[in-house]
Amino acid sequence: MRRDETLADYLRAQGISRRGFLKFCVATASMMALPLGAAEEIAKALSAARRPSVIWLSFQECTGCTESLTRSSRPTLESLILDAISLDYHHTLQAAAGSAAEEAREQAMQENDGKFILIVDGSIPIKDDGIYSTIAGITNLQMLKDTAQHAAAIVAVGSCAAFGGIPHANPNPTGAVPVMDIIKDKPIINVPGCPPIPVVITGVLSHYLTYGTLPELDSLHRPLAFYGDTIHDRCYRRPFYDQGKFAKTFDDEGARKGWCLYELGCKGPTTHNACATAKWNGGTSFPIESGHPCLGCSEPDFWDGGGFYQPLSTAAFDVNKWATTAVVAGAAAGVGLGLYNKAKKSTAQKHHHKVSVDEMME
Amino acid sequence: MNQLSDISVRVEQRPTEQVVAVLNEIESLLQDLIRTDQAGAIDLRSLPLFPGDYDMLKQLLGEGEVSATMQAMGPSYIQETLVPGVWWVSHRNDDGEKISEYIEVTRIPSLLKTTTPDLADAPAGIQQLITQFLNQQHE
Repeated sequence: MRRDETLADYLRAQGISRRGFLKFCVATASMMALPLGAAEEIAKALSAARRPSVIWLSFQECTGCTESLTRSSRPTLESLILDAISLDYHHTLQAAAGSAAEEAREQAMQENDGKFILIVDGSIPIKDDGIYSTIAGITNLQMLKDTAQHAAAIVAVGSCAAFGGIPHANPNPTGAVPVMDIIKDKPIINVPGCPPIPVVITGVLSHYLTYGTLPELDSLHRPLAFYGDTIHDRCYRRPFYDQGKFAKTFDDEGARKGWCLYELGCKGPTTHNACATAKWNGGTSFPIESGHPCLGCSEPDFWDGGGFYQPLSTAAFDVNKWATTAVVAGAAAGVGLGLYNKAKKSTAQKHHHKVSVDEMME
Repeated sequence: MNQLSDISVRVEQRPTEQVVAVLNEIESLLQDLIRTDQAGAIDLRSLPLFPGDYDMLKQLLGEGEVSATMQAMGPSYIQETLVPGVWWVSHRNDDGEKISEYIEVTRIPSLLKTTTPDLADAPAGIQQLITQFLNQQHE
């Protein structure tokens, strides 16, 4: 697609009819949680929309966010929206490498000064001047600052870019922070999730393409259209919660009957995301529908929020307290963690509850 | 069996509140359509339906007299239900995956209507057909 071409021109050149384009807009309206009637408005706006330049920077991350977006089966709304932008820099996806890649970023920044969208995935290490993660000899910290000052807006994709994610988890050895802790003078949209739902990423881009503005955000800079409700608000198992019917283990009668997973540690009541409605794998299901509690991956510090399988009503065990006790006693911190694990195992034995290796590592 | 959605789900002792709520909303949208001629729609992908609710709704609403298939960026299945004015509209991509699905309450789903720009292009299309036909006759 040429840069001066509109999306409607491009789709028509691909042999997509007006009805096909309208169908695409109907699905876009659904994706953006807009009423069906908005489809015609979207069609009108997208017909005239020009391709915006996008620079995508990946910092301390696992590439799961990019995988989430690009591994969708084709053709999808995601692929069509990706066709509608000019992705000028993405070091995982682009053919260019080394200095040629960095030149492409510099060129896109100069040609679209103040107009391009900057997408960031991954957290940014700031300890020791950010030396723990560099690209082409440039620290993530410096690259973010240099690029952000020329951007129109920043989309922080994934929980690492939005809230620090795994690199930010205790003890955070690299001093990892999210984008919003560094950049204070640009509009920032956080699209958290580990990874985020692909249609949520493209929904934000669609909103920008359609209306030329940023979507309405909550206090954590998340688009309300996707993060306005909790998983619990939209969960089909909610009636069981209201009736007090809970699965107690993963293989009891309640689990088989599809009862609420609250007592198995479901973080749905405190997690804002669209999994319960947008779903995953082409709309097939979401974790709770597959019988597993929500981990709360789109909320800040979810890694440090206590055990994944502890109910929200249970106060998180203060692991630091055990470690500190051990240090005071002249022992290594590891002994403190050992004491914590021993205590946990003992409690579990009393309740005939098997403890997995993963739980011991919490 | 090509799709995960083809695996049938049987749920026992399912609450029925959500199914009744959707049916009540359809009734309300029908009243609006009668009173104001304003079409309405329920986005099925935005509803917290219990596994089995979807099939229950589809079974209750049934299939009416009119059905249509649209081939544009993958198939779309448009089916009037047993309730006049209530249409079940399912849009899929080329892989057969649902990209959106609605219960539309309208006289006719708008995607079935010929668009104004397509209508404007239609006479030229007919002229082209006539020219091609005549050329074939003279060959």
